[in-house]
Amino acid sequence: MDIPFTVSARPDTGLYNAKLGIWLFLASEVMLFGGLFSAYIFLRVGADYHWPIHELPVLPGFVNTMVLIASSVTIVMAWASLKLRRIFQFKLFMAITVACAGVFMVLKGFEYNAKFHHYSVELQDGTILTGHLPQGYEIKFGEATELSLTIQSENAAMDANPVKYVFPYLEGEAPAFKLADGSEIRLDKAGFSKLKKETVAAAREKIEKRKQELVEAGKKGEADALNVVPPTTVKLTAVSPMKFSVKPSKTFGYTAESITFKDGTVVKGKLLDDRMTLEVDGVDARSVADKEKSLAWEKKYLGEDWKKVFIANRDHAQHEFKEKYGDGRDPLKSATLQKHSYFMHIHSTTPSDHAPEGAGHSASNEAPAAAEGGHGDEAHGHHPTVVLDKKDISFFSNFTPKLNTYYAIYFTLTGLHGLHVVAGALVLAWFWLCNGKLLKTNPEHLANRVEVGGLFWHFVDLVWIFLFPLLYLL
Amino acid sequence: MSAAAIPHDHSHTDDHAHDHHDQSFIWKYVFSTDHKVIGIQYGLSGLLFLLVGFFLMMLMRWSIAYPGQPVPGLLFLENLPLIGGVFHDVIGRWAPGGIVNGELYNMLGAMHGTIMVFFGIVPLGFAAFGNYVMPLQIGTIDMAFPKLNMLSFWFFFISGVLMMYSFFSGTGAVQTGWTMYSPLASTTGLGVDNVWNHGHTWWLMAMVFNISASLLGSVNFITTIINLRARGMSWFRMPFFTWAMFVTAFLLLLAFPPLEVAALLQLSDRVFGSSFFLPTGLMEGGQHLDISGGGSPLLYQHLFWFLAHPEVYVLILPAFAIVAEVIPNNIRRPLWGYKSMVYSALTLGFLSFLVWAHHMYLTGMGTMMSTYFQITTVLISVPSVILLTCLMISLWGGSIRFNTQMLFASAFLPMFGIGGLTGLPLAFNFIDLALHDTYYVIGHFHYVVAPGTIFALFAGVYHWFPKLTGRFMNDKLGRLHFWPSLVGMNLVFAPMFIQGMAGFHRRWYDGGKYFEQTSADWLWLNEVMSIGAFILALAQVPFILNVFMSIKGGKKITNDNPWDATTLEWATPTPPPHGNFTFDVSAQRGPYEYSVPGATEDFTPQWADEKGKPAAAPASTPAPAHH
Repeated sequence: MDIPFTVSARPDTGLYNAKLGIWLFLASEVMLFGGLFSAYIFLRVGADYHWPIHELPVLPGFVNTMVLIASSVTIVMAWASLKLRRIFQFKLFMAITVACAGVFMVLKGFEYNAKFHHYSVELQDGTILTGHLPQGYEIKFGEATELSLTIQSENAAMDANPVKYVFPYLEGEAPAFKLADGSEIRLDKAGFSKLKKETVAAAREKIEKRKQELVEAGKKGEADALNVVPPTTVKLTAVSPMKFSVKPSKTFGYTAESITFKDGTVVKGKLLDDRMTLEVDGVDARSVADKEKSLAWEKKYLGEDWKKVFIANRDHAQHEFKEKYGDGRDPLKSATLQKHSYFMHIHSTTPSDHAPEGAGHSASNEAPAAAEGGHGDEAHGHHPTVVLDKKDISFFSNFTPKLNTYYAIYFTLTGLHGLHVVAGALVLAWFWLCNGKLLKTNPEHLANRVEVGGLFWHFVDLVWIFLFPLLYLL
Repeated sequence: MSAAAIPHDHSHTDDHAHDHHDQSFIWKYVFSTDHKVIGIQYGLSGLLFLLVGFFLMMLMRWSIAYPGQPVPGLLFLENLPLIGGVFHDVIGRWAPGGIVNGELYNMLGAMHGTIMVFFGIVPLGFAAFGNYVMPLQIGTIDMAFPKLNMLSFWFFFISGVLMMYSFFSGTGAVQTGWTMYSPLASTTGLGVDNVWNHGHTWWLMAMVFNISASLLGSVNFITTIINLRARGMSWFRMPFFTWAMFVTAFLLLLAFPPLEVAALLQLSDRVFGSSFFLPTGLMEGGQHLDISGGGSPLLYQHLFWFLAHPEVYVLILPAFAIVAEVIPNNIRRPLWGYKSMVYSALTLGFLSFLVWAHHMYLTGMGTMMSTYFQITTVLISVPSVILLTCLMISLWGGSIRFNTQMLFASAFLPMFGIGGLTGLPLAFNFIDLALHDTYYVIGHFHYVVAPGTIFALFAGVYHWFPKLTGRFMNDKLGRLHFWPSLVGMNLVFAPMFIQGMAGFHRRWYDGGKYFEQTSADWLWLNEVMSIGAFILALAQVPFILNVFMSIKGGKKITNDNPWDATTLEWATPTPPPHGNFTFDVSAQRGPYEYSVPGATEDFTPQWADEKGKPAAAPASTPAPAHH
């Protein structure tokens, strides 16, 4: 008893089941990516900031486009070879297709990796500085002796766990702590779990005792109602002061005197330093009303000399624009000109080394690519270093979905597309390597499978052909 | 329809039942690829989830009618051995003193909606009935992709487990409504460092599996209907049931991906800190959040409702499908306007993609947008009305058999009518502005899905139960199920229209007591509705008893076609074996040939060879195999 039309087509519809199925599946996929493309349009049209343009490296993107198109050709060749029963060619073309997928993913990996190490810092006046953080960004907190833990008695979203959420950021060994009753404990894994057990037991006992009292007082209803055990806050004093250095994202927040960790533990002490050291490779003043008064030009940051470079760069870009288009185009409406004028890329440590023509528009397409490419430490030597006060920073992030909606949709679209590439390559590799038996017994069936896989592969290619201009060129 | 012979050998038809006799229990009933077993699996889990969703609703109704009073039995349940601890983790720890507070109420509300829609009605209406009945009706041996079908159920199973697990997570289940509107849903509990401790993460993961399950299911349904119809089963010989499943499958196929997009983007907002749905300058608790902003909450609503409106028709079309089978069978007349019903279902499916933003009149998306969606929304009522009218006119002049399924099917008509007609005012944005998020809306869509869809599902259970088990369900218990259900349903939902027009908001966990100055006049209705819910709960007891007792103790059927029906599922042995048909099945005529003039019987089945000849019971006298 077999399902009909698994290999041969049904005469009146002209389709075998899997082919119909894959087209339906692709229709669903079209809706998926259609939703995401619509989201892209929606976000771009409604953006209330300068939508990033020409920020991605075009060359690797273009190579990837070619690679995928080539693989779409080879998968058809593989299918045709199999139909003609040319087994060697079939296997060869399958291998090339899967290899193309590999190349695509490796290039994508390099592109992603560069973004994870590149940062963008928005200052309070709207100026954006891009660059690298040579030491990462951590705040220093010292003279800390008091620790208050909120220990939950019920299953809760957040429960004190200093071993996991507090002590990893401690400099040096965790000291011993004194409890309120004067006894001394060590908050290692065993010590804390013992403390937790005792605290929870005590809280439960307290409730039980209260229940007992109520029952004795003849208030059984009230006793029954005590069904939830409340949390307990335990205060500990360290025998010697502690010093923390922690990323702000690992805390709920901090003040000059206290710091709250992600498990709700509050540590009291003194804030020592929360400035950020940044090696600047770009100044984006597009969102500043008076570009010449941007915070970036303050003496403690980049200073007047860089401002001169910025102005020269701006005038150069605007001059070129005028020469190129005359009065034919409104300079205020050109997002490209805005970017060339007010987004200065920095390639040297001092303004005097800075070649203004290099910072002009001609290089600006490649400049961020080079900066993002970063190539580790060697790039860092080529940029001025500034130390930013916390009060001047309004937001910072590396080039990840957090940075802005453009990078968010960029990572979502390309990430989801990448998953499709991987899944498609796995399926094709399966047909290529693991379907030997079917190849011998029923090559026509295998050809159907390859055809169906190929249809999916074409779809994946097509999505990229839309993605490339949308994210890299427009 | 050309002769698309099914290329397999029928010469030893009797062996069909024994094809898989060496299969162990697990492979036959648990990891089965047989569409009937999968249908039953979907059906049982769907019914179970309906019960869970109903239980959550009972807690909510208690809180609404008697705010601040301990729920009776809740503390007792918590102190039970074994299950007490589990119950404490799910509900008890959120209800100090056994009192439902706002937090728990929000969880109950969100999960009631989610479970009822995605885990109760869709699996039951589409996946269970569709899987069991549709392949039989088109006369094929199984679905086109049996393994994917099994995978679909297990994805659904995993999604159910994940969804239930969210109750146990640190924050408890989600609290942000079944719609999960951002920015609220993007930012609540964002401080919880461990994402696995957050119910929302589990909700989103469960939805990913649920969506995958329905994607596999819908691809399977459409392929099966297009490619595996039996000889002679041309498009317009397909029963309306199959047509409705066909349209529903397309809705699931095309509408779910945007929800997946919404879920992915929201997950990204929560886990990676992006701002897809978060506007610039968003503050919480007096502080700016550590986000870039620049996103749009409206985008979430567009993506969500692009799914969720077609989803409404995913809920209602299977109900029409079932009722359109039950009614002609029990009035002994053809379905009136079969073709217009088919075209209406297709139109309904198409239009359902163009109306989503009528859920968003209040967002200020613009008057042009509102006007456009107002027009399409009014348009979509036309095919709905045609469907309902055809079913009503069918009744005219019939000799109606009021068995239990017919009672439910005939109650479906006015109940759905009320639900549909109360929706019309909501289509107009100027009325919707006043009624948005009030109990009026709740009343409207619950009339559509509760006494509407769920009644139809009950009708389906009573109708096809004999095919599944070879026994009838008890008619007396059935009546005991039907009448209190009808009363209970109306007691619960009819007062909602009054309260809604009086301005009662849907998310008041105390039922409006806090706003007593304005709500005092209609507060008493809360109690009426809660009593109605209680009656409804009691009314389900006979049903549950009936299902389980009839499996072994029901009256046995005397032939394979106990209702004297005409469609192909009644041509199989009872219960249908693996491979379904014991003869070379083909469709000779349309699906609803009841009371054909000149015929000796009042029904002429699709498989009967010659018009006017009494139908041979095919299972006992199989047609000779021929090729």
